[in-house]
Amino acid sequence: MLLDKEQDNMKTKNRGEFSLNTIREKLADARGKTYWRSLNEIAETEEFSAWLEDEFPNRSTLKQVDRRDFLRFMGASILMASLGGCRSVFMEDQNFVPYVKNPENMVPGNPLYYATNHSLSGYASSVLVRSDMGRPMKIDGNPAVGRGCNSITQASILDMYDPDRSKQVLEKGVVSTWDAFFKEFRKALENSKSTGGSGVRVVTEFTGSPSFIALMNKAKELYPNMEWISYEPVSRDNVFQGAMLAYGKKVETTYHLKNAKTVVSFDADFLESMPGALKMSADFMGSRKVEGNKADFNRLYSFESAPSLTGANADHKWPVKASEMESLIGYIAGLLGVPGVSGGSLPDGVSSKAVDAMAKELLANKGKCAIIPSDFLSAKCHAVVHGLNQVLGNAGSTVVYTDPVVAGCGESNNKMHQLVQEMNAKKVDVLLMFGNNPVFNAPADFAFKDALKNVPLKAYWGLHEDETSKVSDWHLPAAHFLEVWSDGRDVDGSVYLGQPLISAPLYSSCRSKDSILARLFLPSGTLKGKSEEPFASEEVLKNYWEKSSSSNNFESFWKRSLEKGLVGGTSLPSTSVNLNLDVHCKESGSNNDLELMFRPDPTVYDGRYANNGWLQELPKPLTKLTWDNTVQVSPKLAEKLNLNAEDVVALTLSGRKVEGAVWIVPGMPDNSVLVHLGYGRVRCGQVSRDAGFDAYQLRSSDALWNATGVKIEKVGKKYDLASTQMHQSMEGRDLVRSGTVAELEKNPTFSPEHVHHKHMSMYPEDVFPDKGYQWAMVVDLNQCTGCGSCVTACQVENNIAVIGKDQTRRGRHMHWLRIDTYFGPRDGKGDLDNPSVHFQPIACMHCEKAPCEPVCPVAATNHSHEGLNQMVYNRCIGTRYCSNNCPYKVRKFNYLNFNDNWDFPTKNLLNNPRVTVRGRGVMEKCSYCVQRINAARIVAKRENREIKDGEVVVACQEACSTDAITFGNKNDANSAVSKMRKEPRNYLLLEELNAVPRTTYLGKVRNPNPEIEA
Amino acid sequence: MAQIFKPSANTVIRTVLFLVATGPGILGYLLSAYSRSPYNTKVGVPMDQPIPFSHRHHAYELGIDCRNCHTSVEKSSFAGLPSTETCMQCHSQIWTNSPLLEPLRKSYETGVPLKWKVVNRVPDFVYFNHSIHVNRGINCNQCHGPVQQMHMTWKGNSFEMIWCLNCHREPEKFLYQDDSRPGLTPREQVFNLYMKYQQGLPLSDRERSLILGRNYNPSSEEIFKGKELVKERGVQKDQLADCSVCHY
Repeated sequence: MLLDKEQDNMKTKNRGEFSLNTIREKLADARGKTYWRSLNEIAETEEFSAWLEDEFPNRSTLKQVDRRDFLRFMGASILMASLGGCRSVFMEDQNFVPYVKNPENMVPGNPLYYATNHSLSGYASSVLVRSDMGRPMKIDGNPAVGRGCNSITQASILDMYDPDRSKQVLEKGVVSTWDAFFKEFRKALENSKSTGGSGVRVVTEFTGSPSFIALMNKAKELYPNMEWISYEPVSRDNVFQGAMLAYGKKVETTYHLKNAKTVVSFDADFLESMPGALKMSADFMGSRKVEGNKADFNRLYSFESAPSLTGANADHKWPVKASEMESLIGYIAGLLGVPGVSGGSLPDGVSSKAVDAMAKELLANKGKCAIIPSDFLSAKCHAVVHGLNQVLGNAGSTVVYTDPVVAGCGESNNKMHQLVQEMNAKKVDVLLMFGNNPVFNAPADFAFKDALKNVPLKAYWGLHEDETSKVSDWHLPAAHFLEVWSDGRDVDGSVYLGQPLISAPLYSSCRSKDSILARLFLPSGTLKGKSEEPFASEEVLKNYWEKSSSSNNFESFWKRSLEKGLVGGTSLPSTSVNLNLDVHCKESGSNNDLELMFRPDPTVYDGRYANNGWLQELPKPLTKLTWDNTVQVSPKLAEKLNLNAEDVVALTLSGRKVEGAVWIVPGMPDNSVLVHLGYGRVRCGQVSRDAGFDAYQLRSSDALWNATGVKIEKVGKKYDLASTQMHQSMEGRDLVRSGTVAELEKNPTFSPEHVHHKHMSMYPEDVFPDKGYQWAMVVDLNQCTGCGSCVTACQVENNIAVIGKDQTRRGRHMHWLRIDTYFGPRDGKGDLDNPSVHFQPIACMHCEKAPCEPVCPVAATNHSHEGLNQMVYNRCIGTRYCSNNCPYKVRKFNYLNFNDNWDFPTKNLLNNPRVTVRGRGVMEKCSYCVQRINAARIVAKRENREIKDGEVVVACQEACSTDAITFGNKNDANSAVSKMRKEPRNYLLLEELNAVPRTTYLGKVRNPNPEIEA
Repeated sequence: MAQIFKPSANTVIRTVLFLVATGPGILGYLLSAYSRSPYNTKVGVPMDQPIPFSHRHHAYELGIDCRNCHTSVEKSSFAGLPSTETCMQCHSQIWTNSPLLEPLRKSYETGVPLKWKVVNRVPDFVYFNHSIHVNRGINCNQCHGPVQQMHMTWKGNSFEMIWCLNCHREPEKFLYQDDSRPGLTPREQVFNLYMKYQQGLPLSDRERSLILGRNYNPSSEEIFKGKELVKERGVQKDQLADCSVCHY
């Protein structure tokens, strides 16, 4: 072979080993604002400098090639290249296949947009899906409801095309038919009719769908003793049980943060993962907008046990152990005088001065603040927080209570427990499970898999043949949400309608759960029309709304609602509550037991997205890990137990044991261990194979979120993790700029140096005219929460390949847009244990004097007249000189044929037809979504006008719920982008290099409480 | 001992030496000639189609507008190909028994679409948009050749990049205003030409070359006028040859 064995720089023998003490000392000595991306960076390890010096440090090197080999390869290359020119000889004739009947309203080649909904754990979000020639292509937020769309929702489109999806009805693993299934189950149901369906159990995912709930109620009328169990592994039982404690009834709590001056979060990740997070982040970040050098906006205090984006964006953050949250909340309730709450004390690490100052501020902002508890806190904590919000007068203004949206909320765990007991007592004859894979994710103490053995007839409906299918008699292939009709409720109760984006399911056997249930439970003939077909769900849905809509003209109401994707006026009215608390909070003790926290994963959630390559490869916001979950510990704990990153440890909890790799996370509370759920799938598909470990095995029903008494032991092995934290590290000054509101007035640039020397340049000056379009982007770091939805949007829009864990470890991930996470000082001091966190989205800067351009030997990258740094794939010969010369390290190289989807042919259907699919040996990078610029230009030209400001919306901008990215024409003085460029916070990244990037950044402003910071 | 080499060996060795010296050049020349020839580019080579559809008959003799079948040519990147239903608008009434139309009727009956061979195509990394070209007054024939003359459709031009750049670098040579019909928008002018031709109205030299698929060398006066049209129609000439106009 021509190539030497690949060198792996990451396999240096001291990998991941450095002294945390040295890091502490260095941080303490640091002057001014020091920002760092990883522990390796401060420790100045060899590994880090390899990443800093070279964009792709793990290259193969050419062996000494002799003259003959060289000539052979050159000759072959020339021959191949010239044969490429004779394409008509070697390429088959291509066919045009026109329609037989033209579909209505479709202009071939132009996209169509349909509104539909996506539900996760019972709460729906409204989305707008782009369809190209009948294929759903891209999911974005529905502008009729709100802007932005999170990564999980966007990436869920990939699941529809997943070749590992189940495609057939299986009976005991053998291919069967729907008819056979219906025959057997209808017979079983008939038999149980005499007892009112007493042995029949239906387990579904959480749902707020009015039509589905009506369907189930109808089924219950016919089978009164049947039980319907709503089950989710990531349930919100505590939230509703807390409301029961405080108000005596279950209520849904929504937070309206637009006018909130002070927000306190108890471990609540309301900016990313809580239901309704998109709206909350838009409202919260929206009121943090800064113009000029004056700022007056809200303040966020965060007490966190599991590091989250909300804590990263907080003005004040304290790591607090999960077990001490209760005493902390009790203490604050005592300070503010919440009636009926006793006990509570201040945990270590939180100063009473700070809490006093916070309490003072809360009292000053009565009715204009909000206290938000995490879904994972105990019911008691929730009850006390209800008391806090009542005392502060927030109820009714920033905190609104409505009836719950999700059916069967608050009792998921109990009902599941009851089901398991009944199964063990052989009381269950027929079990229908719809989604959620309980065998994999039910609490370990339930032993759900063993209990299932006692059920004579059981069927599982799922998108994949998974762990639960394996032990079920029947497996039913599920239709994806983009293939069915549906409705669902948002957290505020608004009903969003869903419609199929594809004229038949991609795999023809797949069916929706309501069509199956309707056919099983309802007497035949109940549904009119196509009730026997896979899309009976359309009938189910229409029947329901025909009865419940008050409109005289149903057809027009239906069409209007479908077009917008929502049924107007369905948000729930607020409900009145009476606080009646009697809670004693425990004191924080000197308990040094290790605590284990379970949280849903930021990307694969509870495991249902484990086979989604886009989500697996999306770096998790704080750790930048891909493809794995980890055992996350604080630097202090790592020091104490002598753990290093990537060490394999065994976690033991009440006799159950799993092994996982360690990751050190600054900002974790001490004596706490965090694991994310959803990994370690055994049976799901090729993507999820060998990714992470299964934390569900440790999780028991009495400690769903936090468990004490876990033991952690080094196994003595290393496990390779793929974190992109160090990849594409930049070298230079002032990469991230941030400051406080007070600093903003004095020095709005947040730059330590006030004078920038303009260097001599060899590039011609002022080549870009001040007329016409000159495209530019501004990223407002003050608006960015770091959620990564822009990264996914870019990936979907631009056909960016998924490359797998091994290639990611080599630093070859293809994302055109990455979000760099920097850790910085807290309260003016370098702090390893509780650093501030800063996010910076980085894509091609489209430098006016681009260093990549002059080094390209074939002019494959050059400038357009409108200031775009163009990348011409068909010219690129793959020298990689450009990436070598790019100071921002934004160029990505196709080391392999990442886009040849041999084992994923359906992925080709999902490729955006407006963007070239790149092959091996080609460099690629952000194009400022030039396909969207050109499309807007063509529309404007056809209408004989200029492109309007805001007409070109780039993919990342579209996905952002907080308006952090602005794009437009900088020559237009009235455009949003040129106004932003005039802001005093505007700065160029690595300005000293004089590359004149077109993408500029606005510094981050924090609003710490001056009484605490001093 | 007899001589090993006959006198003719001199000639042989000279020829061989000559070929060694000139051979690569000749080979290169032949290859490049081949790649530019219709064998490779398929220019002027009629394609075998499932139904021997004649553009000459439909578009010229019957005078059916291009847009009747290529419905999206003014509003999309893709000009659109007629659906079976579109053909059946007429052919359910006329030529209903023609054996040539058997595939069409079968497609209409069974719902299985016809498969036409692609005559004109650009590579996957080129993003061509019909609508903007038609809206700026670029005639169909400018690229597709003398479609009104074609019985079986063939490719009118090579679609090589340099051929595209002829116009993208000097659009003034290709934009014109039909003085006989002032007031037409560029888009209307495109389709008006075929009506004029079909009705036998007088054509200018440029229009005749378009109809016949011949190259036309505009006079300096026409180029001057073309430059004005470039401004008038908002064609951004500088930007027109940027890579990212077609490649992204």
